[in-house]
Amino acid sequence: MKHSDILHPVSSTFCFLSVLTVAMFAQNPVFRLPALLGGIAFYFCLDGKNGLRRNIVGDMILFILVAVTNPLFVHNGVTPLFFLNGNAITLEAVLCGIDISAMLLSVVLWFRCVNIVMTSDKLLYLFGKLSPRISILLSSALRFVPLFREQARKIRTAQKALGLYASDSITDRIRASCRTYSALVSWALENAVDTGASMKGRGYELHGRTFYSSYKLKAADIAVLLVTAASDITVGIAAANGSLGFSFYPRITEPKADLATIAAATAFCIISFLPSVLEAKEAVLWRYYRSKI
Amino acid sequence: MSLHTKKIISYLCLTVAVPVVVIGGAILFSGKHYAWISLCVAVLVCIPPLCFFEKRDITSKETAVLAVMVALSAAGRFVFAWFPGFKPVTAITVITAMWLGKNAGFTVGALSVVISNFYFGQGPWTPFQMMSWGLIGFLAGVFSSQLKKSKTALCIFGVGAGVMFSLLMDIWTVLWADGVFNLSRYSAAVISALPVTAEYAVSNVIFLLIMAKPIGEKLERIKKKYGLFAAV
Repeated sequence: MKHSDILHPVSSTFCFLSVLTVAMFAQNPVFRLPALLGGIAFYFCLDGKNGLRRNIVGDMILFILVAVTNPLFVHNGVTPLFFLNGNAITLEAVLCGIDISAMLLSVVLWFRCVNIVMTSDKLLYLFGKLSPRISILLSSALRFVPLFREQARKIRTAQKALGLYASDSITDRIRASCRTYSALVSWALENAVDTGASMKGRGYELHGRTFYSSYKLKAADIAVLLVTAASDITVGIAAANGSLGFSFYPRITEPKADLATIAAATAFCIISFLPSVLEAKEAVLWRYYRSKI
Repeated sequence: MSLHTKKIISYLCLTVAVPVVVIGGAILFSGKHYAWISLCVAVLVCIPPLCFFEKRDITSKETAVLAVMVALSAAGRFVFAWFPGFKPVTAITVITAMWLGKNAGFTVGALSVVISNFYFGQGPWTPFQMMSWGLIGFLAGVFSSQLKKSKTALCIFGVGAGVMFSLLMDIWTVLWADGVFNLSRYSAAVISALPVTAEYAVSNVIFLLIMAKPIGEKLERIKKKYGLFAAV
């Protein structure tokens, strides 16, 4: 059992939003680094070695590509390293490129975690509170997608049996796909109206609809919420102080070391590593209980 | 929420929240963080049409028809999977908007993004894509009578929608990477995306020309037979 499956979706969402906002918009490397490392740790906890092996090459390419292109486009900065086609390649631009690619990579990693943790039923649970009609629309559409894929396969097979083969030419294949698609549309629309009528018959439009997954706010969920909120407040104070900003051009700013910045950096460190720590704790518990049985 | 509060929320969104976000963001980040601002604006712009959708007294039959259109645009990606880069999302959004109206167009465009990103990956680009596709749907609904009448207009709209989507998403790419709008990086992004943009535009036109009529007739028939979307 993953800890993120037990955690209340509101707590998960709040934690993700807090980390992602800072990861995306704080330029200060003091915040970039924990965001990146925390993202790597959490992704490793969720997807293990397989995910890391599958994505590491693409991630490195993204990292290097952005880090290299920045000094090629931006010639701002006071410390030229060398000249390329008459344009200065500056130390500031190189460091800024590394900073940007660290940001991109951490956001990509955290969103990969969001995709694993926030399954569609959790999202619908959250959406449903805000807007029941959109949540019905989304949940029925989610169910329709696999249904339509299967139906499209059936239609294609049936059309082949009727002798409507598609040759290898592109126009022929487009026309065959459109023929399948058109049949799919008629079938789907006609069925949809029936579905809508029976949904109405079963009281879908009434208040108090329940969801496939139900969650109760437990002590652990509230604890996560409180820790995240406390960190958000600390980071917010630091942001008002201007500690999140950092500029590479024309000269790299001296890093601030006042109390607000240090407190905010520590708080942000805690929430970016919180999910992976909880996940690790759950894994240890799981192993411990199992070995006793 | 009552109908009245929803109406107020959607007006507040456009008249108060968007300017506050733009000005506040510019002051807070001294104008350097357009990515944050544009992300918030994208989310805010999506609220009113979706709010209207929630507010309007639409039946569960109509909801189901819209859900089918959303699912069709995601499933279409699989039907045409052999055709690289081809996504019928734009075409389905435009067709829905032409026959079911601009609000339905916005809803289908914006929610198709949510659904197909469940398969292809959600990211910070999701709200921006929702806004772009939603706007394409909304515009198609506004020009629905012209689009239904002439095939030339339909072709122009298909090309325009493909180009517009690409340009909007490139703005996002640049803002996200740099924080500020950097023209040289933007032109580099636009130029490197040219083949994809062309593919978008061409596939939109092909799909709209072939499918607009048959799918439109089906929607028209459903509308007449069950008396749906009568208010549109």
